[in-house]
Amino acid sequence: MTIAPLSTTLSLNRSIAESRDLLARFQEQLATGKKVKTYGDLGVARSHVLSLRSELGQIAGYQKTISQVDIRLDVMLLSLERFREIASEAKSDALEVGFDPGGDGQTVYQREAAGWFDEATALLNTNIGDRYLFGGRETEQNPVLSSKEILDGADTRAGFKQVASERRQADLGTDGRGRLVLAAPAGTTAVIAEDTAGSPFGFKLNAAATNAAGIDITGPAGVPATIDVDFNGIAVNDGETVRFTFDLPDGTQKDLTLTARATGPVNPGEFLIDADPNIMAANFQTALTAEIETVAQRSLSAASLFAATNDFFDFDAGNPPQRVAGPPFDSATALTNATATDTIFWYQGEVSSTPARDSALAKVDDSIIASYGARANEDSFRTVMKNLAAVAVEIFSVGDANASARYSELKLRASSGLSFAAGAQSVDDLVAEIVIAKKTIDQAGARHKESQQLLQGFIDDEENADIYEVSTAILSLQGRIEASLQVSASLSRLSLVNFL
Amino acid sequence: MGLTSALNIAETGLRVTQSSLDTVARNIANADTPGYTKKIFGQENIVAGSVSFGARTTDITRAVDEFLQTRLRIESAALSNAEIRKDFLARLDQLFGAPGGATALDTIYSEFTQSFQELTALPEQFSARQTVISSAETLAQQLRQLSTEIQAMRQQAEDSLAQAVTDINEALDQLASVNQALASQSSGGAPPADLLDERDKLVDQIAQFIEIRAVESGDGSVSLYTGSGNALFEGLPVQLVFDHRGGISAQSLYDPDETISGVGTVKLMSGNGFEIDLIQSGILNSGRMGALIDLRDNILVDAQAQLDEMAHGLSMALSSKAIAGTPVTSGTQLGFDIDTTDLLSGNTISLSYTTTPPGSTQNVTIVRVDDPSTLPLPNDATADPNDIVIGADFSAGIAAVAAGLDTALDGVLGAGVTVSVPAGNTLRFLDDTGVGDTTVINATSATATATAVQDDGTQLPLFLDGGNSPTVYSASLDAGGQKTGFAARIVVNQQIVQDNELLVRYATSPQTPLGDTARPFDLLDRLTEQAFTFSASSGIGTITNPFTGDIGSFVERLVSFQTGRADDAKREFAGHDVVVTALRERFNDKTGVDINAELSALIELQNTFAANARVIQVVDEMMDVLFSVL
Repeated sequence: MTIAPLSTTLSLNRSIAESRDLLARFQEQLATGKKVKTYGDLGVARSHVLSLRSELGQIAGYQKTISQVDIRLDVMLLSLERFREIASEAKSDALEVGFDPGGDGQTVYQREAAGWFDEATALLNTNIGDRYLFGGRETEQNPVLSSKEILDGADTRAGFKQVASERRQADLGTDGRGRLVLAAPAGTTAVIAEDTAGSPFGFKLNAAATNAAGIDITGPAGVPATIDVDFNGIAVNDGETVRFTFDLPDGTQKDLTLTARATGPVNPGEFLIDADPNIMAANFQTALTAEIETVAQRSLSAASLFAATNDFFDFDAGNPPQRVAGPPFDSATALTNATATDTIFWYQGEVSSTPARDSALAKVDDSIIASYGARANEDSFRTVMKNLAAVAVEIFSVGDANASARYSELKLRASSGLSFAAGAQSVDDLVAEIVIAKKTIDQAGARHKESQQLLQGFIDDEENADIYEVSTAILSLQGRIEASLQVSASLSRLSLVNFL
Repeated sequence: MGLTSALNIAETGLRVTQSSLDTVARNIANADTPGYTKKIFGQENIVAGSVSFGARTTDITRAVDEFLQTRLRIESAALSNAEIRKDFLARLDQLFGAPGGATALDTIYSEFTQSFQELTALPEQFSARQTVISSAETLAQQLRQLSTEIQAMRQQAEDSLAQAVTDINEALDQLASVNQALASQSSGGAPPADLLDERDKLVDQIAQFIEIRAVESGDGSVSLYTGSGNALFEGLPVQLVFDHRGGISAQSLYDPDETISGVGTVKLMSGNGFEIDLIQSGILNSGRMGALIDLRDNILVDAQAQLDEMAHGLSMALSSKAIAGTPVTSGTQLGFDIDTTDLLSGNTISLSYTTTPPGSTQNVTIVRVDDPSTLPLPNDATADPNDIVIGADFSAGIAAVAAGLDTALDGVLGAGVTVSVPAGNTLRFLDDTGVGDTTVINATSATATATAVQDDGTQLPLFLDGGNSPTVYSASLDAGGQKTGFAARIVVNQQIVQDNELLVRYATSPQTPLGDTARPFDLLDRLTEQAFTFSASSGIGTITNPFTGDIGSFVERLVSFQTGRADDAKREFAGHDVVVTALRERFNDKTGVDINAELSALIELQNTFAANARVIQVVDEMMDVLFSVL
């Protein structure tokens, strides 16, 4: 066995140098906490770490999106909650009885409705950051104009009040008879006719019936529609009735009944029986005319207001708001398209036929895109706005005998509208959809958090230096280096030179 | 016989001891000199007739194990080769950044993708759009910087080659003069050992640069042959010549033709005018020079090609626009019309057809070129290995294109498909249904690169090619190919930098609202969902099975590939290092100076000298006795 002299033990030198390098690296690992400085040092775990990091990056991106959208959804839900409260309060308060207008011609309920209308427009203009949440894709500007502009108009553009007033004039007609022609009967037939064919205004004849043998009713027929009430000579008995059904401009119907009375004086809604059919026809026509004028001031007037809300608030890309073609308005026979210069367009957000929810999308996972958009002109919002506006603009004057009845008609229609007929979108439906979107997003967020922890754990396993492992390695390395140096020292003394 | 002869013999003993002492002294003095081999003094009996007349020194010999020496040279060459690779590739490894670090390419790309993800949620926010722009600029800048570094390393390899050639030439010159000296000095006897040491040192030096075999001739002069048997140095003086180039860029690639090559080549000029191109003939494939050449022409070129491929994928993914073919009928023939107005050089038209018989479906990719000298195009001009590639020269007008395509397709499909120009820039492809019934065209489509940022769809030319006057990147094949070195030139479209709303607003009338997410989602999809086929010429994927995936996966592969190479080089170096160290140790053992042995020899010589001196002294005393008698 040969003992190699120190000068030729190259491998010993090399391994000492290597051990010192290793020591330096362990110290660095201890200081930085990382096992490696570059991807090359990772070894075969390299591609695994690369794909883990890429996944982590994606998850971080989704989480950023989720946190942003979460804030928006929270704000949206707050506004929607309040909106729902308003709708429900407006509906329940409409059922209160009593008619007690204040000095300005409006009841407490009406003033409340005006306040709610203000609040509703503010809620629909909710924004967070630079983004308006209820305008669909139009996020840069407020989707709904201010309530003052909407109701009162601005510069040359007509507001709702003006549009409603014009509509009322058109529906009532010049003589207040709801666009019906009630000429004095020539002979035994009383004729009731609509004044113009194809006109959308006023009463529309739907049906007429009687239980009197002495009355023959024909129609409605013809263009424009006409009803003939003929007194055929057979005696009419006390208590027998003629009932008319009219279609009102807002889609509702009104029945009007005239009762025959044998003796006078007659009350409104009754006509005097006479042996002479001509006279009876004349009595009938007079009674009918008076009745119609009253009903016009009550039901027709209220219906006209609600029809005006449809004209003003319902519009989309192809169909602008409708105005009465005129002046003159009380003899107008058609509606005309409004333009942006002559009418307030209350909604200036995105108008589109695509689903409203899809106007704001958030990608929260590889294959999950949550839809959380909303537009202020969605059915439920619009319904609430229409009904509040109608209640808020009507003014009752002192001495108006029909005021109380008209007010009841108003409230009836408002509460019915705010009940959201079956099949129509209610505020609750909308809220539910947004809540579902939020749930989806939150679930995705929770999943991502877990994945993140898991992936980070894997990466740390590969990249991080375990303090205890490194310290132990350093200690054992230290021992080895000391031993090697000791050997080198001994070898250096093993030379003949030292012994001569 | 007699006293005088004993005296003379003792004198020869003394002389021998003195010159041996000389050798021992030289050995001890040169114990640590690199390249010094142990000299062994020899002595022999002076025999005349049948009687010995004393001792004399014979030639000083070296104790060199030739086998070990050859092996050591070969392994040293391999070690130098591995060392150079390790050093260069370690630099490359560092360029790709620490895992998870801010300068790591995969982190930068991931942040780029994330910025688009954020854009889809917050398109109306200025900061979200600005983040997209800045991460795009960071990505482009990182690609440019990586390319600059890689080309700088290639330049360094080139410079090192020049230096190596100079060093080799010097060594060869010196070797030539040593050879001459050896030839003149060794007249009959053994060659002088120290000159042989000198010679070996020079050969060792040369062996570092290139793997060689040394063949010794009787007089000690040496001939050098390369590992594959070519003669490097055969007695006649030789010179290596290297045409050193500066300004190496991604386009400077090696070509056997000197006038085309962008980098230099090493030539061996022998004294009688004979010239060999060492790189072309593959002789320089080992040692330092082999490593430098491999780095300069293969490894670093591949690295650049992979970066180019990534830049290509990035730019094309965001800016491609699909153009659908409209089905047409002409008589009984069916086919498709394609509007080629928007096609740029490098854009493609895809034609899919079925031939009956045998009922197989084939794909043809027609590539627009504007430079007729690039035709005909090889089939690997596209990444898809299963398509037939036809180049169409658009420089002479659309009619010429149709005529050229018609002829080319005839060559591929027979007369099955006819190409015509019904109007404007539209190409009409008709099959032969009802005429020959050999071919049915299934589908035709085209992919164009968009140049406009608005009113052209939701794609976006976010990245452009070039510095001061950027142009659209359309993977054009003209002028050597736009893809080569694209990573060094990729920039972000300044139009979009100056108006970042273009990231959202893809139409002007009606103007896209800022909350619209159509374009952000489309761009995000293109980056993360769309699968792209990457050309295998860069080293990732194979020709028959190219890598298909989204750009993110390609980036991961790229980083893994390049840094993996660095790791492999380190291991290889460590392996060679162990072998060389062991060999060197054995060699030093055999041929190096062992101080202990020399010292014991010294003691021996001292005793011998004393003994011989004693002999002389005794003879002297004997003579005195003799003279006192007389």
